[in-house]
Amino acid sequence: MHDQVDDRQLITRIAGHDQSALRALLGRHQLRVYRFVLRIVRREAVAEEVANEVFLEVWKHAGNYEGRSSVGTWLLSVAHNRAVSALRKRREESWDEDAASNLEDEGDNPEVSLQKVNKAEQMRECIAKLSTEHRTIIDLVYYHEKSINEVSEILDIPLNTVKTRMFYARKKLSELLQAAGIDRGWP
Amino acid sequence: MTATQEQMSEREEIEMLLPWYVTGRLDAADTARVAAYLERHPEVRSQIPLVRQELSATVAGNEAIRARLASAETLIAGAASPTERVLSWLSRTIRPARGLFTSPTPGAVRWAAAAAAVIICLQAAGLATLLSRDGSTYGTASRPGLEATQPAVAMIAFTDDATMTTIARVLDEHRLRIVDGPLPGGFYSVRFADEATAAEQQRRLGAIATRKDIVKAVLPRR
Repeated sequence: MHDQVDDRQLITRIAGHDQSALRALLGRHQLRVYRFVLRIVRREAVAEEVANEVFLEVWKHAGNYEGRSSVGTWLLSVAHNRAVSALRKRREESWDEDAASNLEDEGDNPEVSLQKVNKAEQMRECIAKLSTEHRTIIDLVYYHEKSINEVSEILDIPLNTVKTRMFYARKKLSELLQAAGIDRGWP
Repeated sequence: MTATQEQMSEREEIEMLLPWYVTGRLDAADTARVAAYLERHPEVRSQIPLVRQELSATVAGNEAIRARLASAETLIAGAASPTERVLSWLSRTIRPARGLFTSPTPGAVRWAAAAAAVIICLQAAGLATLLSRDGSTYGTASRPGLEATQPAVAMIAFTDDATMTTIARVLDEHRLRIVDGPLPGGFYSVRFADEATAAEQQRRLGAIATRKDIVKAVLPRR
């Protein structure tokens, strides 16, 4: 976790078009933002473009940052909006995310999966098979270590929805693991 | 609601909070509430290792992602419009000369004089080149050359991605010259550098309008 005071100072300096401040902000957040976006849009070229747009927006409109949330949360919020827009645009242009997910679901049958030695890898594969909504909230909570309030702000959903969505994401993950031959005994 | 239903509801709520309990992102009140519940219900505590497995798989999945990321300089260059890029270049070029006026030294003054001489020579060469292009003849202000007599024929707006080099090349291909701009809306006023027929002018404007990678819009002037 970065020093929030420092992040805010960087934003103030970026508002004054300080390139070294932008460089420092990129060093701290660019890879995380890119990873977050890629797990939503699932295409590297699109993720690169969206992540660049996020930081371009920061460069051009750093003055709009009101400081109500941490800089990291603000960046992920902007990234989420842009990633979802890119995904929507792509769906309109005939690429169907659900169809792609279904294709992935047709992967290994339980017998083949059981042969996989690495249980952790199976877990990773099952997380990747979750819907975009479920995968996104799992990433925000576990990888980005966001609180319930922060997830609510990034996804623009009520606090209770954050809790239930995470709960159902975990339930769905258990179902996928079970289908892959791993019974976790929950739920 | 029966006592069993209440218990179930409480259990569900605690289960919903477990991921944040494990990551340490619950507030103090909820952390105490979850801890107390786990103390009373060891069977729910057995879920903690499951949450930890999910957490480590998610972190591993994210950290496996590598990327070639844009540098700050690339981002900023991409953000600038062609006009901003030219202004930025001019600003960088002029900056070293500022010291000459604030704290002149004999060496700096000599250097400045030499630089001024070079610039004058370059300008003279540039003017000679411009006059010799397009078969123009020498003309004074009272007798302008061919280009100056051509009226502006259109307004053109360029895309943000277009570089000065590509703009110059495309305009030259169609024998067009910028005479004014940027105007409101990012438009530049252009005229032809030769005496093309009206049909030929129309054809060239149509052709340049198809260059969507460089040209945003072409508005013919009446």
